[in-house]
Amino acid sequence: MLIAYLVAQGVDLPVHPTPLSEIHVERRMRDEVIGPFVPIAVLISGYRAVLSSQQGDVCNFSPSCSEYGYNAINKYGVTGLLMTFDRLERCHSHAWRYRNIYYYEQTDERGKVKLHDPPEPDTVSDL
Amino acid sequence: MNIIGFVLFFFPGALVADPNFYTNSAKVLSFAENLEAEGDWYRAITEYKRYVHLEGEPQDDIHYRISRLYTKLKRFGNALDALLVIENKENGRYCYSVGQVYFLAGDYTNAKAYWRSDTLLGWIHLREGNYQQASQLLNITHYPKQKKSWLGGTLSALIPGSGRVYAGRAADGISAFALTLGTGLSSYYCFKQERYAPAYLFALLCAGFYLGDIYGSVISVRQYNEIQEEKYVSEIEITLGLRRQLW
Amino acid sequence: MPIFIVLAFCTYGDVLMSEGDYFRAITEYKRMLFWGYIDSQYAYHNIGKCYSRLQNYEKAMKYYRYAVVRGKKDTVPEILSLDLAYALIRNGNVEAPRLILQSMKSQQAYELYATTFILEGDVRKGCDLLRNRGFPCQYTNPADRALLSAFIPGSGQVLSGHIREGLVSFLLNMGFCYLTYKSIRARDYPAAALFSSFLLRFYYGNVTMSFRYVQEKNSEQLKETWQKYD
Repeated sequence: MLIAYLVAQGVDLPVHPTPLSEIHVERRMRDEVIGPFVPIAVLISGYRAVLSSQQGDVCNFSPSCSEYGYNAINKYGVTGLLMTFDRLERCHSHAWRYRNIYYYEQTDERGKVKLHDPPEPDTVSDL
Repeated sequence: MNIIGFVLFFFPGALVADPNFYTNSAKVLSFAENLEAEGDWYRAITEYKRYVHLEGEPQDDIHYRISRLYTKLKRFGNALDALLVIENKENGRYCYSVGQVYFLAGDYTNAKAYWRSDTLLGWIHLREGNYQQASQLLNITHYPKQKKSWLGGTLSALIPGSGRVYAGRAADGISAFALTLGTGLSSYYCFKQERYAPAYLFALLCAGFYLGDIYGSVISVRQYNEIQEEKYVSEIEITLGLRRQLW
Repeated sequence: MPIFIVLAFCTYGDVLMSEGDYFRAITEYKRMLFWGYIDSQYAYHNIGKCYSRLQNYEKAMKYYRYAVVRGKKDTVPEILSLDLAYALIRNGNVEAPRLILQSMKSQQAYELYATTFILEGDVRKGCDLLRNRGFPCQYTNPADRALLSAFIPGSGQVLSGHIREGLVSFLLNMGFCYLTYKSIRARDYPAAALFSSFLLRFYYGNVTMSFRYVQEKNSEQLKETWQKYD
């Protein structure tokens, strides 16, 4: 009787149960971290919430290393983890030598100039 | 004065705006050309379109101008739309203009359908990275400098950071070496002092930096190759005066 | 009588500008200018005003300059000087607008002149100038707040309204200070070096963040002050 009532109201009822693979795809599209990377994502989120603001705006890059790591791991999984470590190795004061070669300058919302380095694997920033 | 004021009050249009500004096509066209010369391209497009509307007849030359302005504004879809309405599609100017829009938009496959000359086709091959075909059509004798990405990765596997130095990024290489060595040594000393929790943590970080460095070296070499290709293409374009072929 | 003259010289550009359609107003002013049916200083000034309302201050500056150069009169109208100075300030310039504004007598010009010092970072001088003429000064000197944070970590953030961050900063700095001291006493110098490096990083962060929060608040205050010139 409930179903009949809902149909009468024009509510769409599911015809078949959603397959498991589609559920995982949906979760990915909602930007949730999956599987073994959850502890790492939690660590990075905790760092961003508590410690990141305590150091001041020290990162040379935009987005910052923690944001880069979180997005990279979320999007690319294991490759994202390697990208994060790679980014930590590249984040030093001499990275400015490579501006206009490998990175272009971008002014953030606070008016500070940073090196643009988005979490995309295997690309050279558009110059 | 009162009579003048009375007239001006009831007929401000006498002094305000000459309606010919909007309906006289010659005036509209000269204003459009003035805007284009000033660099105000969006407004120039509006005035050119107004001119076409006023004339009523097809204006191929004006459509070429509109297309050129849209291309300068990087609105390639609109540029192609402006060319589609051209009546005389048989001449070389039409093929060249359409090809040019596709070329500047980066759609080299479609550009090849419209560009026929050896020089222009050679240029497309150059942009696509088909250097052998480009060299045959443009008589080029050298190719861009390229390094091997597998070699960069291997060097970093042997000595952390050396792959990045091979890719020309010495500062990144030194940083990678210092981080890998630092965390490795910290882990070693912690194991020696039987402090296993920090020891395993440092070991994990060391492994992460080591693998990240290998990945980073491969990417750095690929990026180096991309930069060299861009420089090579730019150099050939300037040497052969290819860019002068465009608007 | 004067209203008839105003209506007579009211162009379609003026109508569009009063309606807020700045993009089209610019087109109409340019059209009138091209055909010589309008005073060039008036037209360039209004084009500059339209660009200023569209927040394109670079172009506004360019057209105000044309208005100054192409005006037929020997003296530049004060309103034009004020608009040009404002466009220069919004473009980040402080020297040139100061030269323009210091010879002007109006209250608005004086207020803008004082804000150039605040924009440059000399908040004390800016506030003194504002108070001299009876303007309220809602700006805080970021250096004072940073100095306070240098003595009591986290105090600057708390006073700026970021209470949680201030408390975390205080706990972190005190915690690492204690750990460094303990390591030195235990003669564990590598650990002391590690803890002291963290301490320095968080201490530096504490001072710079206090400075930055006050600077951000001052910037917001400046934007509110400038809104009346837009």
